[in-house]
Amino acid sequence: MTSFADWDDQTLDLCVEQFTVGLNGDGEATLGRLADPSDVEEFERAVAAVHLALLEEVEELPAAFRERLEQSGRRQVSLKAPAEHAGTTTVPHIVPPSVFPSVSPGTKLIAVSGWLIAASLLLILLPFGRNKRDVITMRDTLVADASDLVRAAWTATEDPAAAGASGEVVWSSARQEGYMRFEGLEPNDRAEGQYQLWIFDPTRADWEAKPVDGGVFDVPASGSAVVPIDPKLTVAETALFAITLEVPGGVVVSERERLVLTATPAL
Amino acid sequence: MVSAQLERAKEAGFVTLVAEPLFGQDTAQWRCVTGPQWGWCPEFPMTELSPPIEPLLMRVARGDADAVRDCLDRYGPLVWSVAKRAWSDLGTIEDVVQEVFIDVWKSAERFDPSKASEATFIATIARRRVIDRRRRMGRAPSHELIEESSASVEDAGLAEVDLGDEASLARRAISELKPDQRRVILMSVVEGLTHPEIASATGIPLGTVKSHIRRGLDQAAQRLRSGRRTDR
Repeated sequence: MTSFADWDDQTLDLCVEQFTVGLNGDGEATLGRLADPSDVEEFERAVAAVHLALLEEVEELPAAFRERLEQSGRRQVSLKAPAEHAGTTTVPHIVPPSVFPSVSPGTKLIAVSGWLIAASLLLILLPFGRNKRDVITMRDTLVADASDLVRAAWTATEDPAAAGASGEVVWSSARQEGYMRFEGLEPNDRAEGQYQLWIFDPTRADWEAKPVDGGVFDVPASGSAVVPIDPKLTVAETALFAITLEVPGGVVVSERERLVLTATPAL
Repeated sequence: MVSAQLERAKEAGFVTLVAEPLFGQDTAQWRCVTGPQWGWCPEFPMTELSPPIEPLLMRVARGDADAVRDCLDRYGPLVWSVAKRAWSDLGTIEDVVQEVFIDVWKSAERFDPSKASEATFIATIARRRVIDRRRRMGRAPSHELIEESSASVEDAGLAEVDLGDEASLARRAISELKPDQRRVILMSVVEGLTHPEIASATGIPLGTVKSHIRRGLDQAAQRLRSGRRTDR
């Protein structure tokens, strides 16, 4: 194993950049070639420790916010126990968490009516394929065990990326866990753009304008994928799932220029 | 005497202990790293220490909902403070903190006390979220933040905040740096400014900024690694 002392300037520079301001995809790939992942992780922890060391003071969470955090956390954590007994394990996401939700003031908002109209126009439903066995196992476990499972088929829009695409989405609000399956969806070039999931939660304030970011993901050359949902906020209910094609890394607020798929759970 | 105390502590279930001199004092105090108590343990005798307690994240991993409350009590202020140094908008701060804890609940199974303290594990998740969001929202450091970080650099990191053994080791490494070096590391790591932004705010040449940050973080990383090896 190499040590930090053995790293050349380029490796150290990339590592520093990665864990201070973030690297783009090319930088990450280069760093991956140059350094042992365990060393890189160790360096990341060191930067986090430096951050802690530099914190001059810490401030309590606002009481009302803390209460909300605890309630949602309790729901999420209390459902881990049965999963463990069932022998499931956590597996890495196909796409590492790298996107964030929320809407900045003054930015263009998404109009849900447009999504719903698009959804109502669509009718394709086809069987779907599989990949990533461990993710499929987790998905199947969720489908078998979740008492509040929401299930909806994807319907394709007129976007060319969706031509012939099908699949479904499954989601459990109690577990804050869900998976998307796709078949026939146009493969994306990560350098050009990435798919992004949006979840419309009617219990959230201004939910029609501010869907929850469900994460960005890629579709391989086969056009088939099983992708864990990675919601950046707690989702209590689901009125609509929508997939857009966005710039690499995704966006905070979608301009809805490339709406690819939608899925509307049954009431 | 010290080694005998250490042996007794390990036998009692303390996985790791670090002896750390008290600031301004000659005497040493024991600090539990992955053992029953987080933070400063009572001074000797060790027999006054409580029995081993399961780490919080391990409780989270096995679905103990009460661990959520304890985790928020212990690490909520840490995560909140990390986010608050990055943004002033309350909505953004709340969103980020919520995202961080969703990640913490999800990834608690991955916590390995032999690699990091809980505080460092959670801070790592928080930093990933902050960096990612900054990249996605666009970078717009405020003058207020720059001025604040500049003004407080002399005291930065010297506060007695109990945030984990790695933070103590890192703090020691940082304390050995020159004020200018500490200043740019603070601006880079805590405020999230880019190298050019730091150079512009401080008047320090860009090459020197890069060198300060690189050297400082490398030094801290090596200090932590050697500290962990010594501890084993």
